[in-house]
Amino acid sequence: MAKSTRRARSVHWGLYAMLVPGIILTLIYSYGPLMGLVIAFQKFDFTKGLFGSPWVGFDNFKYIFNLRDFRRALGNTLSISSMKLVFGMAFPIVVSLLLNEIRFNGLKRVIQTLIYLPFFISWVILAGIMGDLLSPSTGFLNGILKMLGFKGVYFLGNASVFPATMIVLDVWKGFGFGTILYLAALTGVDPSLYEAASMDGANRFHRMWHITMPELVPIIVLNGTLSLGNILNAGFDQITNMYSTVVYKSGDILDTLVYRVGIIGVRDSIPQYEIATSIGLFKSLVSFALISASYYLAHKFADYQIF
Amino acid sequence: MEENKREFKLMRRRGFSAEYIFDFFNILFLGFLAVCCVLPFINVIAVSLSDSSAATAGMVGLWPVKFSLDSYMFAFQKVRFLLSMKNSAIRVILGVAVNMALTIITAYPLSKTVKELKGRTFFAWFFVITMLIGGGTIPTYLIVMWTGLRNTVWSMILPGAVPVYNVVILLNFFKQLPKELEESAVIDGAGDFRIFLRIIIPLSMPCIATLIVFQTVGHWNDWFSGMIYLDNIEKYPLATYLHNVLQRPNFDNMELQEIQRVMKISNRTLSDAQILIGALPIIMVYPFLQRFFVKGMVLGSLKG
Amino acid sequence: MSSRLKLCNAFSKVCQASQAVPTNLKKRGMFMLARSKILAAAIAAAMLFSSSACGSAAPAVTEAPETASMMPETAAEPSEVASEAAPEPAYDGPVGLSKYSEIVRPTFARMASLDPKFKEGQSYENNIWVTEYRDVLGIELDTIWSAEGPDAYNEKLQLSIVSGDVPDIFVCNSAQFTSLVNAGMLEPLESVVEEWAIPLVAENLQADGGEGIRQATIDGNLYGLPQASVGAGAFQFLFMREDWRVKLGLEVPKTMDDLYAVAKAFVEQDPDGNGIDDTWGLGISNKPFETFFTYRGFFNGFGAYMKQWINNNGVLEDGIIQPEMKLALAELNKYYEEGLIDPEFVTKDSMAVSADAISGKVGLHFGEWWVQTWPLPDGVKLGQDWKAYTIPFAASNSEKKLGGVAKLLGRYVVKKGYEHPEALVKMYNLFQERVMSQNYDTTIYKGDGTYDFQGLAPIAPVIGVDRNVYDWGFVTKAVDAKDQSLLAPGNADQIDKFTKVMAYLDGNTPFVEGLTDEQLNDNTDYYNNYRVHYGPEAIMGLLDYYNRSGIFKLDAFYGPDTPAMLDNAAQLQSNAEEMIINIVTGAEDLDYFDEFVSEWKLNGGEQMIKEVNEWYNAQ
Repeated sequence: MAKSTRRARSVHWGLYAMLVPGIILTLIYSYGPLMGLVIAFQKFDFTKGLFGSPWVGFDNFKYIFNLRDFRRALGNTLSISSMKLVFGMAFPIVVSLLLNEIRFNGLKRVIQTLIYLPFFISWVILAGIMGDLLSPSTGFLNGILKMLGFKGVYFLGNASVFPATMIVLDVWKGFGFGTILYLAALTGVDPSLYEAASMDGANRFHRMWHITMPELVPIIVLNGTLSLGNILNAGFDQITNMYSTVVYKSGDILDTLVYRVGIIGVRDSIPQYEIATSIGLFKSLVSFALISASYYLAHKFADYQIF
Repeated sequence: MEENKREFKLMRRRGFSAEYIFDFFNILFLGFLAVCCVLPFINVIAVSLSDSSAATAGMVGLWPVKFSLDSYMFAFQKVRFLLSMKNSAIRVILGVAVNMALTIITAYPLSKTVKELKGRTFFAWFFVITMLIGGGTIPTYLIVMWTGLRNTVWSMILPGAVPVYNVVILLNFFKQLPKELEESAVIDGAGDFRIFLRIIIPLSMPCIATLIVFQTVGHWNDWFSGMIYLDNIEKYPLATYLHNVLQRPNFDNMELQEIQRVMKISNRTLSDAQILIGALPIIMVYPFLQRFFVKGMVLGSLKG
Repeated sequence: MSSRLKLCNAFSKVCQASQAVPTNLKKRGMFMLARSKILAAAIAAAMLFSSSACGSAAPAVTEAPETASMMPETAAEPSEVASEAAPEPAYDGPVGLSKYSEIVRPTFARMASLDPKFKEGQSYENNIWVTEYRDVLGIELDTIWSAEGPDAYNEKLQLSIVSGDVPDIFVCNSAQFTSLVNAGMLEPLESVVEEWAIPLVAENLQADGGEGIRQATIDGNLYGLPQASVGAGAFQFLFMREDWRVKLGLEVPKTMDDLYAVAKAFVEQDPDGNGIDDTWGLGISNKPFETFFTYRGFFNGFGAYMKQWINNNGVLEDGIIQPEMKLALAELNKYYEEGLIDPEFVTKDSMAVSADAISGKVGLHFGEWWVQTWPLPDGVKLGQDWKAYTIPFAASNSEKKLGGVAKLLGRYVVKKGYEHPEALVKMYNLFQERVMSQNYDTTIYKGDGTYDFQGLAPIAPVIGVDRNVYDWGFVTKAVDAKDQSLLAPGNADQIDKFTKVMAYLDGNTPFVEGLTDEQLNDNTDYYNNYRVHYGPEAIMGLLDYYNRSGIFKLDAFYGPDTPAMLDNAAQLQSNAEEMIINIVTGAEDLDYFDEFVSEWKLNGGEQMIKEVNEWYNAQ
C-alpha cells in the first residue's frame, strides 16, 4: 500500500512536469498577446502604441453595434456558419460510414485520397474556377440546368442563393479532409463485432447504426462542441474571394466587414485596429459562452467531460 | 418449421442481394463524389500544361490546350519558388516535431482524472481558452519580437506551438484507452515513462498520425505568419510566396503608381504550375500516413 | 491656382502614368499577349529633358554657384555629420550628388514589387542602384525588412511603427504620414532640402505648382518628399470600338443621349457580325471605385463626381452625395435593365471586364488615357480598333466639366533624429539626375522587356512634367509635313514616335491578314503611336485640348486626412459602393439614394464635411 502511494505520487510529478513546456509557451504566446485586448477600449493610435493611446470605454462597441452593416453581418455570419457547421459535420460522417462499408480496400483508399484533394486548392484558385463554372451564361453547371429545362441560376451574383452556394462549396471542399478524423476513429472498431452482428442477422444499416455509429459518437460530440466555438467564423477566406458588392445583403460576414472597413479600408489610410479588436473580442465572448454551455451540458447530462 | 426456414432463406437471399445493391449505389455515390472533387484539380493541371494565351482566354477545360511545359520549366527556374519550397520543408519538419511533442505531453496528463492530476479541469480550461480568445496581430507581433523570434523560422512555430484543438482530440483518445493495459504494465514493474512510451504512444498511433496530417497541412498552408514575422522575402515559406503571387489585386482606390507595383503574374499557367508543384508534397503525406490507420486495428482486438 | 499651374498638374499626372504603363506592359499584366514591346517605347519615352510645356526651361545640372557656396556652411555645422558629409576634395559636381567620405548606412524598408524583374545575375541586393549609391554617393542602404506589394508593406510598416522600430528612411502613405508627424516621429526636411536638392529637383518639385510639397507640409514644416507629382488627375476619356461604330454607321456621341443610342446599337445590331447576341454596350466593373473600366467618366458626363470634393459656392462637399449622382445612376440603371451592360458585371472586377473587352465583347468604356496602351493593345492584336474620345455630357449638365483628383500618394520620410537626413535628398537627386535629366541614358536606366530598372530604385521619385503632350505637338507637325527635321533637335523619343507614326501611315497596320507574330507586334506598336501621339484626335491631342480649354474641376480638398476621414472613410466608401451597385442593378429603387445620403451623413460624413470646411476656411 505504501509502495503504491509512493508510485502514485511520482506519477503526479511526472504529469505536472509534462504540462510545464506547454504552459510556458501558452502563457507567453497566447496569454501574452491578450494585453492587446485593451485596444478594444481605446482610440488606438499606432504611433502611441498599446498603452499610450487614449481610452474611450465602450465607445468602439457602441460604434459597431450601431452600425447597420455590423448587425447585418452578424445575422449573415450566424446563418451561414450554422449551416456550414451542421452540413460540414454531417456530410463527412455519412461519407465515412459509407466508405467504411466499401469492402475493396484498394478502391476505398483511392476514393479516400481523391475526395481529400479539394482541401488543397486555395479559395483564391477555386474562386477563379468556380467563377467560370457557376456563371449563368457560360458556366458548365448552368448549362446542365438549362439542358434539363431549369432556369439558369446566378449562384454568385444573386443575393438569395449566394449563402447556399457558399455552404455547398464549403462542404464540398472540406468533407474529404473531414473524414480523416472519423476514419481514424473507425479503425478502433473490433471487426469481430461485425461478424457477430451479421450472424445475428443484422443488416448493413443495423450494423452501421448499432456498431459503427456508437464508435463515432464521442468524436462527433467533441468535434461538434469545438466547432461551436467557431460559430462566428463563417469562412473569411472563402467569402472574401467569392463575394461582391451585390451580395453584401446576404453574404457579408463579420470577418469580411472587418477586413473591408477595418483592415484594408480605403487604400490610402490606416487600419482601424480598434474596430477589428472589438469585434474580435465580441466573437471570443460568444464562443466562450457557447463552449462553456456545451461543456456544462455534456458534463451534467451525459457525464462526459469533453476536455 | 419448413415455412419458417424457407422464409429465413429467402430473407437471407433478399438481404444478400440488397447488400449488393447497396454496395453498387454506395460505390456509385462515392465515386461520383470523388469525381466532383477531382475535376477542379484536373482543371488546374490542364491549365498548367496549356499555352498561356489559351489559359487566359479561359479556353482550358479538362484537357490542356496547346500542350506546353513552359510553366513548369519557368517555375523550376524561379529561385524564389525553389527557395520557398525549402523554407516550407524546414518549417514543416521543425513545426510538426515541436507541435506533436507538445501535443502528446500536454494531452497525456490532461487525460488523467482529477484524482490523478489535481487541478486538471483548471489546466484544461487554461489551454482551451486560448482557442477562443486571441489578442490580435499587433500584440502577438510585439511578443514575437520581444522574444527574439522575428525573422526566424521559430516565429512561425512557437506562437502556435500548442495546438489546443489537437490536444483535446488526443486527450479524448487517451481517455478511451483501456485502463487494464496500464495497470497490468504497472504490475509487471514497468516505469511510468516506459508505459507512456511503450504502451500509450504505440496504441495511439491512428490518432497521432491523423494529427500529424492536420499539423503538416496547417504548417504547409499558413501564409500569414510568414508575411508578418519575416523581414526578408527570401525567407518566406511557399504559402506566403504563393499567396503574394496569387492574390487578386484590389484596384479600388489604387493610383497608377500602385497599379504599377501590383501588376504582376496573373499568368494562370505559371501560378497553376506552382500550385501543383507546391501541393504535391503535402498531398503525398496522407497516403503515406494511411497505413497507420490500418495498424490501429490492433487496438480493437485489445479492447475486445 | 493659375491655369498654368493646372496645366502643369495635368501634365505631371500624365507623366506619372507614362511611368506606370510601360512597366505594366513589361510585367505582362494579365495578358500574356502583351508580352511584346508594343508601345513601351512610345509611352515610356517621356522624360528626356526637364524643360517643360509650362514654360520653365530646365537648367542643366551643373553646380549652381549658390549651391556650391553652401558647402562651407554645412561643414561649419557642429557634429560629425558635417565632417562625414564633406565631399572628396577632387569632386566638383553638385553638392547634392557628392560622396560621403565614409560610407553611410541608413536603415530602410523596401516595398518590393510582386513580380520583380532583374537583369541577369542581379537582385535587390546587387544592381546598378546599389552600386551607384555606394560609388557615387557613399550610401549603403541597410534594408531591415521588405514586403511585397502595398498591402503587405503597409501592414509591416504599421507594425514597425507600433514596435518603435522604424527605419531611418522609408516611404509612407498620407494617413500614416499625418499620424507620424503628429506623433513627432519624423525629421523636418525643409532646410535639408534647401541645402541639398539639386536644381533639377528643386525645379521638378515645383512642376505641379508645389502641390506635392504643400501636401507634405504640416503646420508649416516640410516632413517628406513626394513620391510623384500631384496631378490634376486622371482625366476620363470615352473609349470606343471605332470599327464597330463605322460598321454600323453611327455618329460619335456628343451627349449622353447619343451615348445611349450607340450603346444600344452595339448591343442590338450585332456589331461583330457573328450572328450571336454576345456584345454589350458599356463595360463597367463591379467596383465603382476602381481606376479602369470606371464609372467616373460616366458620372462626370452628368456633372457627378466621385472620389473628390467639390466647391459648392464656398462650401466643400463630397461629390458622392450630390443630386447629380442620382441622374447618372438612373441612367446606368436604364442601361442595366435594357441589357446594355453585361448582366453579370456584378461579379466581374476590372480585370475581368478588361478580359471581356479584349475578347471583343465590349463596345464602350471609360478610363484614363493609359488604357489605350494597356490593356487594350491585346485586343488590337485580335483586330479591334479602339479610339478615345472626349467624354459626352448630358443635356442636363450645364457645367460640362471633367473630374480630377489631386492627392499626393506616397512620401519619402526620415525618422526623427536620424543623423543623415540629407542622404534621402541625395538618393532622391540621383534618381532624378539619372532618369529625368538631360543626361538620361536610355541604354542604362530605362530597362527593357526583361528587367524592370526604375522599379529597382529604392528611392524613385517620379516628379517633373510630362513630355508626352509636349512631344505630341512636334510629332504632329513633323508628320504632317513628313519632315523629321521639325522635331526638337536631339530628341530620341520624338524621333521614335515620329518614325512609328509614319510607319503606320505607310500602311503597316495590325488589321491585315497573314502577319507573323513579330509583324503583328510591330504594327500594333505603330498603331498605338498613331492613336496616342499624332494629330488632334490622338489621345495626347485630346489631353492638350482638356488642358487648354480648362474644362476640369479639381479635387477641392487637398489637405491632410481629417480625423473623421481616418475613422469613417472606409465604411462610407463601402456603403457608397453598395448603394451604387444596388441602384444600378435595380435591387434598390432610385429613392434609396436619398436614404443613403442621410445615412452617409449620420455615419461620419457630416463630421467629415465639417472638418474639410474648417480646413478650407483656414486656407
